[in-house]
Amino acid sequence: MNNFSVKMTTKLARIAQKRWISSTTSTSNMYDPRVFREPITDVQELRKPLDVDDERNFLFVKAMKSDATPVFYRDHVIDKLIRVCTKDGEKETSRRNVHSALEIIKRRQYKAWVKASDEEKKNIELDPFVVAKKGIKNCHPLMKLQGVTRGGTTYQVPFPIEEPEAEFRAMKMMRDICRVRSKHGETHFKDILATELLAASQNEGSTISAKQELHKTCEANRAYAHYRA
Amino acid sequence: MKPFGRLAYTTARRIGTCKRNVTTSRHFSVESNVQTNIESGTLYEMDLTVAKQLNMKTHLPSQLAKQMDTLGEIVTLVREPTAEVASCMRVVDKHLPNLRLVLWGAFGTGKTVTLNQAVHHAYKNNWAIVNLRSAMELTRRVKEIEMSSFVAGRINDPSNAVAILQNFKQQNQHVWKTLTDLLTEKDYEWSKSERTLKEKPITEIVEMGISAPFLASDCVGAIFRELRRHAKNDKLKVLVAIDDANSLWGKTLVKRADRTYAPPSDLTLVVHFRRMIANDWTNGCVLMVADKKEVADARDELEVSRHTPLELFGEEGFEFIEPFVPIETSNYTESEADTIYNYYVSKNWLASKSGKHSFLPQYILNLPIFLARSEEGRKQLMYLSAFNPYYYERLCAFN
Amino acid sequence: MHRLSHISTRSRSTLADKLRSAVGGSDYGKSKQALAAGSIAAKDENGEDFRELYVMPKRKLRGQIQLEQNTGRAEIKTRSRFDLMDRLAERPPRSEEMDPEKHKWSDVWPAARTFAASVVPLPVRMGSRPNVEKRAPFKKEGNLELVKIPNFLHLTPVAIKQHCDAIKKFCTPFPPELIATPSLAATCLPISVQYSTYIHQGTNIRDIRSRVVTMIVDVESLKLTENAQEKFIRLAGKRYNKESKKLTIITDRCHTRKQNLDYAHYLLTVLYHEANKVEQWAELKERSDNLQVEFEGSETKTKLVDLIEKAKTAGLKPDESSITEFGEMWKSYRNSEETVDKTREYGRQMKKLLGISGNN
Repeated sequence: MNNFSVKMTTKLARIAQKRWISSTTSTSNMYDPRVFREPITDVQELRKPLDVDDERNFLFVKAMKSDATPVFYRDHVIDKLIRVCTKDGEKETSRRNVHSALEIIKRRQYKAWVKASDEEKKNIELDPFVVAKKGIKNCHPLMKLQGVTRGGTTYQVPFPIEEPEAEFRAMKMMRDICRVRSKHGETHFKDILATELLAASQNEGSTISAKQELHKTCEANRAYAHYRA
Repeated sequence: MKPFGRLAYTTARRIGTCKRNVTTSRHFSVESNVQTNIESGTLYEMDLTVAKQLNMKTHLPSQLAKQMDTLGEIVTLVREPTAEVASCMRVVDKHLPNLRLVLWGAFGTGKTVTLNQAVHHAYKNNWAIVNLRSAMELTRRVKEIEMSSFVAGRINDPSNAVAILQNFKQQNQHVWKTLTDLLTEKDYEWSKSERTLKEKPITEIVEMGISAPFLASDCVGAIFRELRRHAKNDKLKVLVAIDDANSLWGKTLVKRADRTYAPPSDLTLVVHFRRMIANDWTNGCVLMVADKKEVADARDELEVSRHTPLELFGEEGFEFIEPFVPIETSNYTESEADTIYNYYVSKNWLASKSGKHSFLPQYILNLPIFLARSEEGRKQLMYLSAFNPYYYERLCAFN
Repeated sequence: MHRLSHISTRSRSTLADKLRSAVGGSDYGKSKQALAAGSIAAKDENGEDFRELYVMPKRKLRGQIQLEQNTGRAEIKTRSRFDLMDRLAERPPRSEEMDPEKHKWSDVWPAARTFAASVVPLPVRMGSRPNVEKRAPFKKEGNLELVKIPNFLHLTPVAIKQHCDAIKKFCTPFPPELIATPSLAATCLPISVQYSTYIHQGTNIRDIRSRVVTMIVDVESLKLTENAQEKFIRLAGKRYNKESKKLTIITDRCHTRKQNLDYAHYLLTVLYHEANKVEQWAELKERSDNLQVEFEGSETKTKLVDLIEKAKTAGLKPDESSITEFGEMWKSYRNSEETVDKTREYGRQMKKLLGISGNN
């Protein structure tokens, strides 16, 4: 884990030097690095006994985060979506909403699957995690717009985007659309999120169109690309 | 219903002997008048049309009602409490005062489900059914009130009364003919103009109540009275199934004219239901659920209420329902959890990472950690839900 | 006063000048005169010098000095002591000069006293510091922390033994029977009185808590009748503990311990006598006034008996003999904390009573 983080930081540092992405990593850590080690999040690893010489026999272990527990339904995309949809620090509510959305997706898909013929059945994805992942993936923007100020005017310049940030932007777009739509209390956030995810997995829906709008604006602002440096 | 005895599902205690081919040999009888054994540990299916008639969609917990919609069938697990209730119902006799049963247990252990299974069982055996979805509706969700003309100081609830009568009509379609043959004991003068004469079928009272909401509360009382009378005379057996029954002695949100809250004994419908519970009539069975909803307060961060009958009914309620048989509902055993798991797998309901996605290579998909359908998934479902039926169902719902 | 002071005063007078000039000749005082006269350098017509009129000597007269001294307005010149240097010479602290053979600690430190570093012969250290490894705590000389904390140097075992020996002749020995059989105390001495004495490190011997008196009485020993006991328990309220069957009276409403003890005794007497009295209105007592819910005479029992009777005609096989057992279980169920286990027991017994088996 430590090695990985070192690699990440050097790579990050290199990219950060080119000023394409944020370079602020968490520099301060309340855990004393001399005394604390990362917890083991993999179930198979947990079941194996620790080596006698392993330093973790004599050191403390950091607290495991609630979205790193070794449950069988652990999924990076869904966990990130939960974090993104959290409001006022109420992660439990967000978790409930996202899992309810997954349930709704599953129910709709199941109903369709039951009605479908045998050939069509193969094409219908029952796993809500897969559907949600595909939906988010389809919403990944390829570029982002960043404001660059030159001579008093701020130009919206298209910049390249890394995978994690693209994922975040996709989730944020979806979340904002769903929040606006569920504001009046008629429909719940979970229902709207389910509809959006399902539509996005078919390359339809408001989030996909929002992404396409973004691409169009990037294409239109192509001329400002030389402001990047 | 023919039992599952053809497969090796004899006792719920034997772990690991349950076979997984559930789909093929599940039976349900359509119109059977035979009182058959209900074996605990088996899956119990209710025919959809029957379920619609018994209004299961509103009476079952909302998650199971959704399952009914999605999967197209209602299959629940028969456990110890249902078997006990069934054996108590078998004992009912015209000489025996009505047998009171109280279902109690922790949250999510199957009190409401057992109640509905019992209602279905009663339907199977051609009993009359008086089913109340939740006594809390009578005490807390009262939209409009009327002062009773029959007894001074009593408060009528027209909308709930009409709902009860409509529900009664719908649920008793299978014995409607028998009910039509039963006749009223006396003249009922509902108001100056409306009346039901003596020696008329009691179903008329129901119709009267449904058509005139302002009379409905009194009609409810009358129909209950007639049912009790005919049960005593061995014309029919009655199952009274009340969910959240401890609310009949609980808190009310009905305000009187002087802006104080009315005690439950001032509400006509509560009084009628209490009379149904009282053991002065025979040939019936009263099945009540003691639910914590009445007593638990979400804003009280210090106290946690018990789920035992004396705590929930209160002293007054407890003394009223005594002598009763308390029946406990508990968490799943491993074999029960296995049965449900196998059922979900057979219906293709557990879909998590089951190999349908295209972008992950097969060797990763086959890794035990990634499959909800694997041994790992099966075990984790049991332990993550702590064997609680409600949480087990919730976990299976999104996986 | 300097022995020759009068000479110095006198030597400054004008008469002295005259004498000097009379002895020394006319030119002896001339220059002086010229200086003294200042502008008056004139000689009179005879060629004689100015003769100043002698009014008063230019000094404080003896009488004036004495007056000033008597009234306390004299300027007193302070002069250093003759033995000053001896006094300032350093002396070792007392603790070093003490010899355990010759001196008794209880004589050095007989009563409670703030810590004095020079007196206490122990190498005590006290103080905190940022790095524990780097330095030792501060030494006792000039250590305010040691002064702030209470010390019990006046209560060494030897000193306490001395006190005890002095008091012993006023005490009687503890009864050996009570030491041999501890349970004897419960039967022979049903009343136990507890109070606390508080010692302080300072000069004040008083503590407000020492007036509190706790009296614990074994109620069985009062030998009350059934009704009297119930009345006693009702009157006592929270002071009665039903598990241990003891009454605890804690008083502190009077100023002194003696008064509180008397009050406790008074309360016990009153409770006892009131419990034995039977009032007229006690006859109005109903079932709902009982302290515990009884199975006998309850509606449950009548209903249950009725149900069992009818169950027999219905064809069930109820177990009538177990109704007493059920009654006991019911009483404990109603009168104590309801638990899951108790409810299960209730269910089991009810099924057994009515003859309903589990799975048919």
